[in-house]
Amino acid sequence: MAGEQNIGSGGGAVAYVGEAVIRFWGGVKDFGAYVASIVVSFRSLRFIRMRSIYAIILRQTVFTGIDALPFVIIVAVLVGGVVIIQGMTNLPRFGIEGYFGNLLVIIIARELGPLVTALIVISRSGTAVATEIATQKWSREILSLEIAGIDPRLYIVFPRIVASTLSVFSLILFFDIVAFMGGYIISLTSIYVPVDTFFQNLAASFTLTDLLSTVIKSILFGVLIPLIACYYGMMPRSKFEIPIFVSRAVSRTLFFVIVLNVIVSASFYFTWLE
Amino acid sequence: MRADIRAVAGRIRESMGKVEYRVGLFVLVPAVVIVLFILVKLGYSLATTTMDVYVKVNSIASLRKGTPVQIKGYRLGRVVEIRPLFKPALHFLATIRIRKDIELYEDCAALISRENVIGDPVVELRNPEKKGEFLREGDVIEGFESGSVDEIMAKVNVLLTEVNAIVALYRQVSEESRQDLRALVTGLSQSVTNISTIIQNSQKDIIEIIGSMRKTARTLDDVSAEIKKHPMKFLFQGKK
Amino acid sequence: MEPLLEFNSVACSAPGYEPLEGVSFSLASGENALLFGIERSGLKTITPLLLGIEERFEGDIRFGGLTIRGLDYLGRLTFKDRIGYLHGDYGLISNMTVEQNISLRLEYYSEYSPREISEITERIMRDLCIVDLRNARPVELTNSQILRTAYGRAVAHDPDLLIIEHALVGQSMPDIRTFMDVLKRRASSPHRSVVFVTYEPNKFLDFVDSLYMLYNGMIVFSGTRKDYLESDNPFVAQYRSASLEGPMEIR
Repeated sequence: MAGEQNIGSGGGAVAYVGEAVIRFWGGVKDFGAYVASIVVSFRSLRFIRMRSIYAIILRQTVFTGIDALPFVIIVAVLVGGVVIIQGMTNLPRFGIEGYFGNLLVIIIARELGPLVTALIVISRSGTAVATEIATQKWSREILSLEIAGIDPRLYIVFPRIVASTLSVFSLILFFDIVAFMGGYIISLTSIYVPVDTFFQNLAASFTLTDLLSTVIKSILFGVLIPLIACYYGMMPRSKFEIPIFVSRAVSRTLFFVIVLNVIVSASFYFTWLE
Repeated sequence: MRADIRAVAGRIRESMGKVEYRVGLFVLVPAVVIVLFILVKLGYSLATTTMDVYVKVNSIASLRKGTPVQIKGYRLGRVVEIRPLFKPALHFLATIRIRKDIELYEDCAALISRENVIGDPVVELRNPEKKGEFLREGDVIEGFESGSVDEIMAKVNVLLTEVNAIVALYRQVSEESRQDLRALVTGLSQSVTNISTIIQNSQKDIIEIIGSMRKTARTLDDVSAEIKKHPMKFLFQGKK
Repeated sequence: MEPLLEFNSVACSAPGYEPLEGVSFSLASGENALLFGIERSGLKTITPLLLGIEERFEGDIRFGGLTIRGLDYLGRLTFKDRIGYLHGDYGLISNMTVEQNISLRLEYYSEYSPREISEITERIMRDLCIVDLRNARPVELTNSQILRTAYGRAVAHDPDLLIIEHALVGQSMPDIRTFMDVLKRRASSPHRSVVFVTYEPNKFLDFVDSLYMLYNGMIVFSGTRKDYLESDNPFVAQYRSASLEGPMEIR
């Protein structure tokens, strides 16, 4: 009997895992079809007037990028300060205070800049986009658009992807610049480094590979955040499902942004031990 | 009615124009930063064919704005600015603007000396024996004044005189140990000779000279301290 | 003369839709039709099929002589450009103003210049007495103002066929007097057609040329306004009297 129970519970676990895998695979296929439909819809761009989409891109860039800028600047100063304080406290112990510029580049430019910016955009705009689209779907605004011959993928998703990519790219750059400047100002409290020396060392440490990795991350994050937000925003079939799918949109976006960050960093900087 | 339409359209264009202006700035500022960064990284100079490098010196007794900078007597540029730095202790940072096309390495040294009978100061750059990374814009190199070498020599001589005096004192105290003292003095004299030889022969690399002198001075300090602490033991060391 | 809209033996049993079975009717250009019936009669399936949202059906639906199933993107765009749709949820875009909602479709893919779009939008707002509300967002509007804005958006591109589905639910009749007048003018136009899908046929009797009643996915009555008013068809009689007694099973 006990043996049967064990087999039963083991079988249940296997079934649970199997179901989860099938569900995950179904989700991946569905998301893939959704992305493919967006790509296919680009064929229709020639039929529409870009002016109407252009206005949405502008509005979304203001919301996702410019409105988020003060928050990003504050966070960047704080993060830059923390990195500098930790660096100033700990690097001299190992006699490597000369690698201050490298430390800033490695921690802020390569990793924290893109990641923290993406988190800010997800928390501000990802939730807003998912909620807005879910509400629009519930109030049949999207249906009205479809019936009016307005493709929601081109009119709703595409401008948000463009705006988000522009915004994330710019915000990451602003984040890095402000974090470096904030770090410099905080470092002045304990040691004097000429401003040009500081930034020249920083520029020397910041390689074209770092820049390329930052640009690639900004594009990937900029595309992924609205894509997932819109995907889950379109899901709810009743207003009671709106918070469920909005929450799912945020958690999935966070997960995939972190995974992508690791993949890009690993592909750029990881080398096998020789 | 047409006037109304035009007014409305104008208002929309105006508000849209402001938004476009803001978005344009928001996107273009980082884009320009990136373009400039790429140009700098690719080695393009946006202004001149020179680069600014910093020389860290303890004193600016002989260094002036405009002092020429040279390597092996060939003029590379000049000192453009001298700034005092107060942390961690008072020292100075001289900015030298030199040609980019001359091969210089980041471990090079700057010797500040006087070049002619009048004694005009000059910053002489010297590449290290072992070549490493190239010297780049914004790098900091150590500067030494030739006068400071003489000062160190004088101090070493004073120290040696003191040691000789101590040795003479112990010579009186113990006649038995005369032979040892003589040997010690001989050894010390030999050290002085060696130091002088090193100083004369090692003009190629002033940094090594100073290091060697410091090491010798420390050895002498140890000897002196040992003699003061255990004079007898020191004199009879090695004898059964 | 070729009909503007034609349903030929249309049957639909797609999941999520009320079933239809052998529905046939046609509408000439300039004619107005009204479809009515009780809940679950198949009324809710007519519009998705007509608009091309649902393609899982048998039979044929033709618009302007062309079947609407399997249209490519450009064909569908052309088809939708000839149709206007006003539904009971109105679906105004909540982050757009009244003016932007009305001009949305024209801004998206019309051949009009910005100046012409402004003029068309201005004329529509003037006709519907919502000029003063041009910068208001849907949340600031009353029910009748929302209805008028949604109607303005539906006809901004001057479609050949306007579909009005349960659009007057919850409206105060005096407040929509302006709308009804504008709608009447459109319905009486010789080259423009209107299809009403409603539970309240009496509100639109003055506009329509023919009426169709659905029950259990089938057309159980078709006739003119006069036929509807005088018919002894048991389905129509039960519907007119709103009685529970009759051939229709009311659940």
